[in-house]
Amino acid sequence: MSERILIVDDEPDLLEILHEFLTDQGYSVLCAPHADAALDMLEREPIDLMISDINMPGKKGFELVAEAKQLYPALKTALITAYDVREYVQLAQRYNVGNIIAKTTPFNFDELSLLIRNIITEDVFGLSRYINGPVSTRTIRCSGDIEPAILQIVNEIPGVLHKRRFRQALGEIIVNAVYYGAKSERGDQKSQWNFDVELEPDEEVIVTWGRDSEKNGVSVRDQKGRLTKGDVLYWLERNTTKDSNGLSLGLFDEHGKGIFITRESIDRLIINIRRYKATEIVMLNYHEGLYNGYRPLWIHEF
Amino acid sequence: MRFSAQKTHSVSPFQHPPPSIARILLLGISNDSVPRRLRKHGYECFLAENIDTLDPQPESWGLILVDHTLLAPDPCSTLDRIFRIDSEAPVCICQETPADFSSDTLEVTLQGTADVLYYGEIDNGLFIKRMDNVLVHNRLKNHLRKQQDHLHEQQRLHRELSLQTHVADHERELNANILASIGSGVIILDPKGLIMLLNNPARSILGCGQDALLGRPYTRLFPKALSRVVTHHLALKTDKVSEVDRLRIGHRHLQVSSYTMLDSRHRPSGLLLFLQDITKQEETQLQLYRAEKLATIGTMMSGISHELRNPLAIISARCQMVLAKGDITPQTVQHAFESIQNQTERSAQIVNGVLDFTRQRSGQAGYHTAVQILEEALSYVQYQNAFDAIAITRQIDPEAEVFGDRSRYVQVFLNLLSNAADAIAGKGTIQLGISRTERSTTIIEVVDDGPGIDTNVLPKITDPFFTTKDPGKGTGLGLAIVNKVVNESGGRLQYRSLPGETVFVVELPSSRRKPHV
Repeated sequence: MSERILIVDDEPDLLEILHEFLTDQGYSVLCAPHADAALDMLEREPIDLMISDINMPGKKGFELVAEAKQLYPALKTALITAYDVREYVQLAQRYNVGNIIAKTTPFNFDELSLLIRNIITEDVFGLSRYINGPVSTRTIRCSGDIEPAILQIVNEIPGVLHKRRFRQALGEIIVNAVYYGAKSERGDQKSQWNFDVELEPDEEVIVTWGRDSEKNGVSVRDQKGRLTKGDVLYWLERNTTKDSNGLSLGLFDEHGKGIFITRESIDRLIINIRRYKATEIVMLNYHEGLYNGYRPLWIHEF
Repeated sequence: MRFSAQKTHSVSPFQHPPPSIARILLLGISNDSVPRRLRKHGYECFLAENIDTLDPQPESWGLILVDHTLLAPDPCSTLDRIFRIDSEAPVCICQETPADFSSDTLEVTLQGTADVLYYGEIDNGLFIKRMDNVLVHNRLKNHLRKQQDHLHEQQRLHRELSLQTHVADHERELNANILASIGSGVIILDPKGLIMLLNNPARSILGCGQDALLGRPYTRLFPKALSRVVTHHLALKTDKVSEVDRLRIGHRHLQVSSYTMLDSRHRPSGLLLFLQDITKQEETQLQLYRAEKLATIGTMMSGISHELRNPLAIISARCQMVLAKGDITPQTVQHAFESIQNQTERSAQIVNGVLDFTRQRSGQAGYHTAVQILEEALSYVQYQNAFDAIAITRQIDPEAEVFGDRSRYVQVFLNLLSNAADAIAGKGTIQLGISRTERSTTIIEVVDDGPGIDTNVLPKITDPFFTTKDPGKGTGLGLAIVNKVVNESGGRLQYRSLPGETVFVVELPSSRRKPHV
């Protein structure tokens, strides 16, 4: 039996497009033009995944998701919007929503398809799911491995736009994986960190990178799964929300900025979490600035 | 015993012989020939045996004659008592011969007394002669004292007068300086409208030179707009004290404050006009309004960028789907094109909306459907975060029209909607209402269920630069602009606020004719 997807959007054209596309992908697709119709449909039909627009007349997407989750805890959900996802970080944190899809131009059907597959199958780990091409892997066994790994990746992925930002983001993610992920150091005690650590076999950090016709990608994976969706949303919210002086709330936070900066520096930041088993951060950069300016929120936590 | 006093009778001190009115008190004088002689010379004489037999009522005397025997035994204290009978009257001691006085009492006796007269000299006339001399001397003395007093008074008055003159001069100079150096024009008119005072700034504002204009009627001099105001205030004839009018004279903007001057009986005694040239302030404010408009355009640009993403995503998706499909049928292409057509039209509408707004043609008033204006304003702001948790309810008369400048009306509702969303700051409801009235107007209401506006600040909210928002969040011009646009369009803005219900009622004309709102 094929998975059943409910799409909620007040744009009839978009409902039609997604219906056609997802049906072609092999899903059973249902459509609702507003939140109340969606709740009616959830009551009548078994649904695996509901994808809802955020800004609709009547009940908004966040409210619909919250209400549906309360009625049907097993229901998987994602939001979709044409607006800037960054504007919704605050609400995402409040409603604990991990997935917001961007309606990009050109419309990114591959991304939509992948995200839906990820949510439904809960099989999210591994760079090969995101890159249609050969990938290389390197294992980081001690802190001394971090710099050479970054150097190798930057050299082996040619044509990265904004190389300096990419390099900084990569460094941020690998350092985090080693010290927070593997070693569980405290962020507010950076001065006491041991910068010359050996990692046990079950602490090793695996870095994978590769490239396809559309984009390049790097995956950094630890084996501890300590990061949570709540943490990520909290740090993103701290660094997105501005106080009355126009400064972000997280400006003077000891840590938590890395994830925000990384998200801002690269096109797609995908965070996959299998609690206490693994954390994987996937960074994708599209060639030639494609899909630039859209920042979907993509956090899977199982 | 009472004596009639004749103090008002003025007497020349040099008149001789002394006039009969000189009243003489004779104390203890037993010599009969003294009063007789004196009366013969025309004096009025009054006899008393001693001080104790005198009427205690104070009397005024020309001269007091005392027999020397009354002075014993204590000449000093007796004399004191005699002097007290009338402190003005000279006192003479009388005795038979110079030998009657012992030399040791003579010294005491002579202190304060005028002279010593001898009864023995009555017959040869020397007694009277000496007495006359005493009287003349006394009159001269009194006259001299009066003259001195008069002189002192004159001097005092002179000093006072010169001081007052000095103060008055100083005040006049000060007033002249104030009037000259004050930046504003000052004009004083009498109740008939004649110019009593006109300072230089007033002359320059009115464009008249240094010609003498005082005393001429204002109607000859004032520009029409100012004349109308003055005529109105002069005609009022009430004790209403002040009025402020704003006028435009040529390229200048004037603020005219009129004060009715009242006399001590509270009747109008003239009109004081205070003219302030507020051209610069007006220009600055106009620039700020334009800046605010630009800021609004910024908000709208952000709004339309977001709005355009929807049709663009759909157009892109349609194209990709047709291109990716292996089996393209005329129907699928037809359908895709129809959709693309719709979405491009929608995009064009969004862009045109901003173009309409930015076009600054004044006076391009026209008829517009109220709901369209309200929805257009909403479309520019509702992408904002603030609107995500806000439900919008509508109670709308879809036929209701408004007459006026579309882009300015859009700005009005854009500001009101933004304020409402900011006030709610979280989950809440904005109610929109449109209804028609019987007086050719349309009422558009924006109601939010936010915490409400503090009663203290409620009257100030339409003042330019008044804001309750955090620094950097608002210019304080939003409601000032709303008020300005609504008033200039011949409409009316009303508002009321309670916790949980803040209502802005915009009444706009629905017809070209000016409504009476």
